[in-house]
Amino acid sequence: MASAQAREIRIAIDRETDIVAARRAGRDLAAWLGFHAADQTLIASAIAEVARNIVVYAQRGEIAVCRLDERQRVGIRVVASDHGPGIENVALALRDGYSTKHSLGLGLPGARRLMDELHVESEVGQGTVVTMKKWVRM
Amino acid sequence: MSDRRRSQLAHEYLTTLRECAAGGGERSLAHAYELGRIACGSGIGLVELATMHGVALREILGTRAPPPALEQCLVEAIAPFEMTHRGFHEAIERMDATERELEAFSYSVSHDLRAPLRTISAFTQAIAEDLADRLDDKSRDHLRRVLAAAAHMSDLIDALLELSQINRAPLGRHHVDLSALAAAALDELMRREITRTIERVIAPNMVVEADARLVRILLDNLLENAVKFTAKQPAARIEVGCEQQGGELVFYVRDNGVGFDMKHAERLFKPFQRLHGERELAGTGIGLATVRRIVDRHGGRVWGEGAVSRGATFYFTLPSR
Repeated sequence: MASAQAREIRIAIDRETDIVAARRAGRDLAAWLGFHAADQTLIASAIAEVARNIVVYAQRGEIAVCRLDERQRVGIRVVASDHGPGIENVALALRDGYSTKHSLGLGLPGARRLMDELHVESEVGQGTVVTMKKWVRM
Repeated sequence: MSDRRRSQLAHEYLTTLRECAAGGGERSLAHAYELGRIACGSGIGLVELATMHGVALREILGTRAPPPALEQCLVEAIAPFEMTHRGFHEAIERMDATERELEAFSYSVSHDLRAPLRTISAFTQAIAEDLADRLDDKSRDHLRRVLAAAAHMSDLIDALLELSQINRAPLGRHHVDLSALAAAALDELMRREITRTIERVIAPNMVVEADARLVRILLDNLLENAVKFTAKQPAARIEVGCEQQGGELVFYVRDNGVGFDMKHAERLFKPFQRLHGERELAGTGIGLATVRRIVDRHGGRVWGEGAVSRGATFYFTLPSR
């Protein structure tokens, strides 16, 4: 089990049902790393948000989850990448209510709040990479 | 969301829960999450969602205890609410931070403005005294105007400082004798108006549970206005009293002075909104903003009633906790 979880798990995303696979991969890894049940749900939710963004805006992309090791702590890293249209203004995209007025706090800003860290790299016409991290609470 | 969409959502949730009970795993949980997302975006509350879950659960299980997977279904449906909840929390924190920054800003500006103003006043005064016998009337008048403007600015800074300090100190709650405070405030104000006679009526035994220091500032401001706006009234009258309005104890300060037009009633309580021209009546334009903030801090309300040339009444409540 340990060796299987040490490497990155990558899930191709090109339709809504792939979101389920990405959530499952994130939840399983989170459980194995020792995240509390509630945190497992929050991680699966954050993955659902970024995976949904891939399906809606870029049509296809990839979600990769892996274990994070630092001296004092263990965590999970989720990287969502695509070669879609990219985000023109990342700061604006991280603000609430940017894309639709009915989704206050959902989407990227929502995912940021469920994880400990969220970083977006994007170039118009090239694609987007969202990197999220969350640490196991001791 | 319409009732039809609501019952459709409830039905979809029941279906999802059934799939979950039949071992649907992550697929069912993802579906529950999506339904929660819809609920979250269309104004369905957490309680309603949990109720929906309970109804679906009874439908499936009757009186049997639910397996953990079915409980997890509800947790997933709630997750989007957690996101928006955290969003609101952040927004509120940001607002508080902005307000604190503004307070700190006006406090330090007021402080920093005082020193140069003191210098201006002191040296203008010195010139006026040093050159007293060499100045013509015109120049003497110019210096007098500089001093008057500096004094007015000093009053403005004091008022701003007072306004910014109201939110800084913790709110005390003690029995406060409003009648005695009003009498003391009026006594002090009348000392500056020795040439005037004002009929004063203060109802006895008015007691509130409030912050004594802030209530004094509140009364100072309201009574100062009343004294100021009755300046041209030969038979000036100022009344402080209270009455029951709809089960609520309402205090008031009433005068028979110049009054105001009710169409400006809301503007009165915003800082620097003066209804009367500077020439007619001196003042800072911050007094009623200060009053409102004090009343706000006590969880009360304040409003004004008046008519041009017919006097003004300012009402306020200071509810007990």
